[in-house]
Amino acid sequence: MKTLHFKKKKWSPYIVGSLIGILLSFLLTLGYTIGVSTGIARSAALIQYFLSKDSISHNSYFFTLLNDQPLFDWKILFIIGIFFGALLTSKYSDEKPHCTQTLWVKRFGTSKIGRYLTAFVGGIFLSVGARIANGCTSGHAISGGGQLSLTSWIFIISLFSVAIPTSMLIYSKNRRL
Amino acid sequence: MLSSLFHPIVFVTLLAFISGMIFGFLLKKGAVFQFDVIVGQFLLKDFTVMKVMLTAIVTASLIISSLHFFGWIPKLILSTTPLILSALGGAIFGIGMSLSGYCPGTGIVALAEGSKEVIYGLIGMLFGSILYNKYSFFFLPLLNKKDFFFQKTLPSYLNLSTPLFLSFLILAWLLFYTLLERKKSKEVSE
Repeated sequence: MKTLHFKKKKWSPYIVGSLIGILLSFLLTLGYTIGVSTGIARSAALIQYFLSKDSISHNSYFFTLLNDQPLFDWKILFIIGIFFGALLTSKYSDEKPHCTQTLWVKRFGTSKIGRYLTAFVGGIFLSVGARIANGCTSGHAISGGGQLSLTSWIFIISLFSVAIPTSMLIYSKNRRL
Repeated sequence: MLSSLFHPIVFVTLLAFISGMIFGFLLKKGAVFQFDVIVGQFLLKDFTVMKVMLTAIVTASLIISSLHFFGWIPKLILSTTPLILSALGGAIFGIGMSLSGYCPGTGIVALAEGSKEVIYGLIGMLFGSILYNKYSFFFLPLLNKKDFFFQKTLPSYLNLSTPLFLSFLILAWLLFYTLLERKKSKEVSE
């Protein structure tokens, strides 16, 4: 099985997808799902809590998120796991870790500041969107999609039908600012 | 000593950490943490994201439906988000994904890969969560309504039996697979 070689940098997306499906099914038998954005929101809530306890009002989302939970709950531990899982994988892969951004460089050049700024603004959009829908690509699209949830499928369809024209508008080579 | 491993807190901690590690490993091997792969998908140049996502959904739905039928999964964990909020949130999320080139999960993988801009993206995500929290009084009553209509699954909404719906889903996946792999072999032969 050459495609499953552990040191190989990239596996077949079909195999990766199936394994994610199996992981989700296994977790569901124990009453858990895959999810990331709530863990990020919990981290933000913890930061705000330690900076100023009083700034978290009783009718806010952070209050319900922090109420009666251990400090590092399932969601945050899952994120820490992702980080170390990816780190170990890079360490033992054949090739050095790297992130290619040729599509960005082709359109906007190598300026770092613009890239950092869009990453920051994009991050805000990601969190606000995930919170309004109450889930992200992992929690809504994969966990909900795999359970054939109607509302999660609406999330996926909406995501792609907005992200495709937005990306074409931003990164299409023929457009100049 | 060994029995302490089965204490609920230890078990949940280990389970969360290990399954997170597996998920991180898979996202890394799928290369879906790359800016070019995610934006390439939205530019319809690289279909890796859709391949991973659709295969995960089809595989999971087949296993989950069977396990649910046999009682191994007693209760599905379905979102109760009203459809309008899923659509709105998905749209805002989509803009965020095209701007940043990752989603929360793949952002963590990119961080492990040593990508510098993802640090700004993650600060943006923390900031976005705080921003949402400030206005959460508006959304919370809508999210907490627990309107069970939104908890429906697609087969029950469409009034189809689950096996029939799954058959359609597999057919759609096969069509998707054939189209993409044929396109790929064409590109190679050219």
